[in-house]
Amino acid sequence: MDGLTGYLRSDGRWGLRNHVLVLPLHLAAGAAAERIAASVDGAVSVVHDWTGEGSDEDVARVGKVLVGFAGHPNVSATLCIGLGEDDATLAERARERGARVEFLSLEAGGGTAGTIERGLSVTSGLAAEAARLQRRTAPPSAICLGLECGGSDGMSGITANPALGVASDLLVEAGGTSVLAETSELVGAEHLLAERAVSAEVAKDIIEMIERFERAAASLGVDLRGGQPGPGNMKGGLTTIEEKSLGAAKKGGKAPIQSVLEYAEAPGTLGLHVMDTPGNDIEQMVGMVAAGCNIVAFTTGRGTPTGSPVAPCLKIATNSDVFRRMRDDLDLNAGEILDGTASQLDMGRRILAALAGAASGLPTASERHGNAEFAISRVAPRAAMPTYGTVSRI
Amino acid sequence: MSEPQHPSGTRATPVVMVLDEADNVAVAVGVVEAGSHLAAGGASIVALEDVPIGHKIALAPIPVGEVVRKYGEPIGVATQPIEAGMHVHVHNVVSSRLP
Amino acid sequence: MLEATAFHRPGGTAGARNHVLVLPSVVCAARVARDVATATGGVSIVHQHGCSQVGDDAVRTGQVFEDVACSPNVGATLVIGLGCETLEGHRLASRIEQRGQSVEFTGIQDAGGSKEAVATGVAACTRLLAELAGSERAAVAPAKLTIGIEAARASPLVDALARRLAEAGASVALTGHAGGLQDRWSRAAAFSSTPPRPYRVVLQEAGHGVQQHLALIAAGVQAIVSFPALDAAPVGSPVCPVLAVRGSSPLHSALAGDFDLSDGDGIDVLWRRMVETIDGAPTVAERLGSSVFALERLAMTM
Repeated sequence: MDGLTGYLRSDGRWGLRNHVLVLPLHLAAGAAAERIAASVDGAVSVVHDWTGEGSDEDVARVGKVLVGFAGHPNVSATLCIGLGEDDATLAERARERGARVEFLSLEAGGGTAGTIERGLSVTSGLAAEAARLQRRTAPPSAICLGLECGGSDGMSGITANPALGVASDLLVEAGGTSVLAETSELVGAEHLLAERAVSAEVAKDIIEMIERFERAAASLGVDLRGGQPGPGNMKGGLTTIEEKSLGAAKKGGKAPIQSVLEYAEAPGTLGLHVMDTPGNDIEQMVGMVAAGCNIVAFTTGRGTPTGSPVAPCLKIATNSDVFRRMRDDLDLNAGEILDGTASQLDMGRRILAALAGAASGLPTASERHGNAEFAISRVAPRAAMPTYGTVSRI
Repeated sequence: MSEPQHPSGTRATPVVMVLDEADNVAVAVGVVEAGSHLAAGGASIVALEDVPIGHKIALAPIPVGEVVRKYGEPIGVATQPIEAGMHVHVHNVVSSRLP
Repeated sequence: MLEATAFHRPGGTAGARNHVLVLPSVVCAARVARDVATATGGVSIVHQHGCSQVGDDAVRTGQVFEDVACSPNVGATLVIGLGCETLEGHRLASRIEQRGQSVEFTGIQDAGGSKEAVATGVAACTRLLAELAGSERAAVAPAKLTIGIEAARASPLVDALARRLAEAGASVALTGHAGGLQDRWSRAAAFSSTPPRPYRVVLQEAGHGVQQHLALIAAGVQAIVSFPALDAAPVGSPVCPVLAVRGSSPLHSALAGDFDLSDGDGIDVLWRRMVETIDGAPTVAERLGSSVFALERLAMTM
């Protein structure tokens, strides 16, 4: 991958961007974080709805995501803003792997206005430090690629996903890392993935990941028809979850599968991994990025503008029609495979080259638009419908 | 699954694409109008209905309960009797995996 | 005595605000919604829902969005959808319309991308704002006012406020569990001298202040007086002014600047501030203008 550059971080990982992140650790800190990041060049913020209340599993999951973002290689430094001083422990966890993290709390700052004032000063300082860092030549192993599809249609499994699979295989051969996810969109393809597992144990993990999902879906008593595939998928021709999954799995190419990762869990080796995430486009992307993916390749048939606050997200259209219609939100057109002007192999190589270009600094469409969606997957919402909005009169 | 072969062997745009020789459906990648004759996987079928782009058309009869195959793999079973040339989608196929 | 002004809606309700709500039906549309709101002066919310949501969970989220759009404080809504999501934007827009609200819909995929959707959305929002520009505040009868009280902690002001509202002829919607509130209210109803106004107890299981506010908005309140728990920060709400009353705790003292009032201010000051708020005076939360929003989920995303 000629010309690939990045920022070498103290923990040995490579950053493909050099953002300063203003990260609220609690919903109440969101307003301050937004205001600070909007006022400092080079700073980005995220908004989320975590209030600290949840099951142990959700507390752990949210913590992993927030720490993963605070210490992300694409981020030169993070200002974490908590509600109280005890939120500092999350900032500490991010510092443990050498990340540059500052912490403020609303409590110590005297509320939102005071925190914004202090936060502006801290963030400007972090941005000045960031501006002094330089890119250098990076090896292919610098890339940790998140594979994603959203707004899939009947073409996804024929054009963009197989082409992305070619790019992923080339990356892995060259020493990079690739992550395939979206558990609900692998149901029906798991036997094909298990065949490629590096060990019987990993094969078992893949099957179990799918079985766990099916049990969860069954226990919810939810009718997934209309949910998976969704309305847009069906308009695009996808009929069943198996069909969608067989197409989706092609994003992972043919490389051997090294391990099954939990949501937001960092891959322990180079190569291709599978991560257990929901099908929700944003929750998936956040999980992969929190785990360390520093660039995302996102195929789409219906078209979607979503992106990541800290990682470049390369959009690949499955068909020329959507590429034309939503040109400004998309980067590459795998519809050329149908038009006859490119083979899957050609397109795969072009995707890899575009990934290298984006990695080295070329902004993707979603970055130009400032799409920075953020959502943390929760596993244990309420079991029963609360009596929300019920009114009784005294 | 190898890269889908264009029916004429050239890079000309096909109308339907067969993804695997074991498949009993093809994917419409161009305009498929009822009554049109289509070359698909070395055979020829007549479209019995319009099939939207990205949707599937049956290559052979698929009786109720029979497996629908795409990419060489099962993608569901027929819930209505399907004839060659029919549009194959949610009205006549159901998933075998989830409710 | 409760003399306030409000915007009178065609359906007979009255609003303390005259918002155009720019409502993304799915997380992927939130950025476009935010850009449209920023460009036009509408209010938007940023949430993480609508994609791969199924069953009761999706229905409930849709219901919450619908209730927010049907708040009397919202003069019109622009729903922004993507086009492939399980929580379908155009259906949400129809349901809002069926409830008698003015609503328009923009779909990002239909519009041809996010930039186009922002342009279409800005045009739609501008139209809606123009329709609302003619509406003026006019005196509003207390009977048309429902004030929400979020009582996550006990405060003498809760009962005092409820009593005064009842005596003035307004309705009260209460959420929160602070110490036997329902019992005290039954007793308070016995004290009201005019024909009893309905006290409405909005049942909302334990949850953050934001959830409590959503429950009150569904009950049709024009303003909320919030008594956050002693270990909780005050938060605002996108379409409803929230007056936050500080209690005695280290956290509340530390966050004094984020509150509007304290228990120590007393009922007369609270009453005056409440009336001013209904009349249009911005609360602390409104001045901060955050679009942060939180919604409980019933199930995990598929």
